[in-house]
Amino acid sequence: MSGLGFLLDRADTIVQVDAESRAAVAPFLGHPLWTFLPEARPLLGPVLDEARRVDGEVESTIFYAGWSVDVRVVPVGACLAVRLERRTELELRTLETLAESLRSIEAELAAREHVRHDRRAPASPQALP
Amino acid sequence: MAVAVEAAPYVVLDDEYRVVETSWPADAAVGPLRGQHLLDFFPGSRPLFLPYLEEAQRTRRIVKFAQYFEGHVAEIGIFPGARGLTLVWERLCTLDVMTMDGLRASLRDALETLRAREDALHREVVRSSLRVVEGGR
Repeated sequence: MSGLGFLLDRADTIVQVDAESRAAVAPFLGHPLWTFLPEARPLLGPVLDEARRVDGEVESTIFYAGWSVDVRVVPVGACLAVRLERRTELELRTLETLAESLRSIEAELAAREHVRHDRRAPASPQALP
Repeated sequence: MAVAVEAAPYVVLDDEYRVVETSWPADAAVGPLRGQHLLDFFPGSRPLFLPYLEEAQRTRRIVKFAQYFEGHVAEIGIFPGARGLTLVWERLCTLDVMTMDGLRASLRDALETLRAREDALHREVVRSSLRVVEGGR
């Protein structure tokens, strides 16, 4: 999974795959996303739910399978177009490399969370007088 | 009745720390490195392992330690012998990198395991030193 693009139906079933993602994802066509990405439901599910709820594009960054992953979800009719881009790998070699890469990844996750909150702020109840 | 015997992975190194022999469980990982310097193939491993190899070579005594490397905590034993240094290892725990929660929990376990094993090995060294001081009783 370096960069993957696919289309999900309402039940989070993979119904279409980008040409460049075919080799990795095609065997999972017609199967739930969670078969392709085990243990990802608690991480990706809320992003998919939010895109459906706001009926608009949602971006997030998650940590999954040793990488920070940028997620972009765009509603397309009744489906969701999902794009996943791997960003920073957790460097497991030594405790020092692990700590350093973990700090980078946590900073990426925090920065994305900060941007998401900033975007939501004007519309959030807390922003009201 | 057939009995399955699990052989421990081991590697035998010569005086230059080149791989001269591997057990079959270690073959997949280090078998192709026969004739090569073991630590050259694992970047970052030199400061973690070389002092222990040198200690075993210098003292000709068994050296045991616990170490984290490449996502695993392992207990490693270095046994000096006529063929060279035999390295035996046992994986104690492995990091779970699937999710951040899993990573944090497994990292906590790994660090605790590392500390506990180091303490236990240190106590073992102290006990065996005391036995020597007390005349092998």
